[in-house]
Amino acid sequence: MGEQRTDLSRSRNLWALIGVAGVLFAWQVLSLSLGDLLIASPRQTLIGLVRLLATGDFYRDFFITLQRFAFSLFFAVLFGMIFGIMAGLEQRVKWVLEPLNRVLMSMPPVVLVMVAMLWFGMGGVQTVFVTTLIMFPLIYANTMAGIESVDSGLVEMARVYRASRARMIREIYCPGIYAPLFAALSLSAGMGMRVVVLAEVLGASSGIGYAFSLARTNVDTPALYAWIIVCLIVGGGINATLLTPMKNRVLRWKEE
Amino acid sequence: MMIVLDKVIKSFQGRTVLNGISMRLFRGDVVGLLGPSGAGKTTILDLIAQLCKPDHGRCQVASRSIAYVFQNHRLLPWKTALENVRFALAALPENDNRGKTRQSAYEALRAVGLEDAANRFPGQLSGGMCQRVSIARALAIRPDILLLDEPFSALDQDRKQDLLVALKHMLRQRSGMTVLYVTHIPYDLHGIVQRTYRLKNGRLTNQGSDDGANAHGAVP
Repeated sequence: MGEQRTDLSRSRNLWALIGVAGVLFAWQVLSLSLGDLLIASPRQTLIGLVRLLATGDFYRDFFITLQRFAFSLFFAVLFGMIFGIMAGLEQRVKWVLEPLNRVLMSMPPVVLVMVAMLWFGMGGVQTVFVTTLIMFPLIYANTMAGIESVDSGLVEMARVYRASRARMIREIYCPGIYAPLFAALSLSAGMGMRVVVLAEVLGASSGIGYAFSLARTNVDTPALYAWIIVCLIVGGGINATLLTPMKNRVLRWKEE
Repeated sequence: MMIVLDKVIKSFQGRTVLNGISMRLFRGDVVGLLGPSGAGKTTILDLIAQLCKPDHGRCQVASRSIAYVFQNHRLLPWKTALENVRFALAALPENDNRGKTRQSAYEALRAVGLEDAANRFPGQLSGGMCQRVSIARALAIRPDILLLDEPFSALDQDRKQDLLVALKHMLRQRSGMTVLYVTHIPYDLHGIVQRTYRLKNGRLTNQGSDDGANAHGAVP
């Protein structure tokens, strides 16, 4: 059983490597055929990245964006979980929030950025506001679905053993929503990073998005591509270093 | 009197399941309730456990604590066997000490022979082991009333036999506890109950003492 799993993992890694090699090859071919002004080659991007890493501005922009993303994720999870639990437990709350949820789900992020810029001006507040609103529906909907799918037999059992409402939420509903919540968080992390950068491109004077905007203005294609690589690393890194270990810990009963 | 059901009527979606049943259980009574599947046996347990209310009639339960062993174990899959037993213990006001509940939960698991499985999740246990954890959870709180809803129906004959013997032994040690044991197999009640009721077509009849003693078949 263990050997089979190792073989499967090895095979998966091999195919993933082939996928990465394919992307790099296609990237190089496109760079050669369209010119490095439009598409910086992998080598130029790597040089651009090393150049970026040597500047102090990189770390400032990087951590500002990371901070904005962390705040947005925190608020989206906080409000998404609170309203998701309330809506999952009480249908009237769900009905009240349904129109707002639908509006937020169908709202293009760029429209929200424009509105937020009017309200809050340029900078971090509008970035956090927009990103929170974009991530909120996903967390909310998955939390609510998790609550609704909690086995009613377990709730009855808890009632028989006189568990308080608070204990039921803590020990029955919350563990019940972890699986869909982590799926939502994984999606939100990637989506959130994209929205933070977009909001910074349009309405901030610091952060990765602002650096993107500068690189584009200066036609510094290698820097532009280097920032793309940074964004990908951050998005993947959050999943690999934060969300996946948390998920494995919280859902270890499913694995074992 | 621990449990009084007086002319209880209960319907689900227009179908009358209990049609004016009356039942009285005293402290220390160990009573069997026989009836075919779908007769409303579980509804009687749910009424006593206050999981539902009668449409008409009176259901009065004078108890500090009730334990319920469900037909399927209803263990929390994200908690270990020990934590599942502690879950029931934690609600008792006298169990505000974490160390004490841990010790009590461990002793309850030992009573059903599962002390070695204390740190395993339900997904890692067999159906029979899960049901034993469920019994440990019920007995750990030292309930006034114990409700058993076909607790061994999902098990094979050998495991069921072992658990029935273990249950008899445990009930003998807990005199004073009122027990209502629901099943559709009369033999399951053999040597456990003092008297038996039969539920059919929404009505209850008193079947007399230790009904299961000579009966071996299932209720038709």
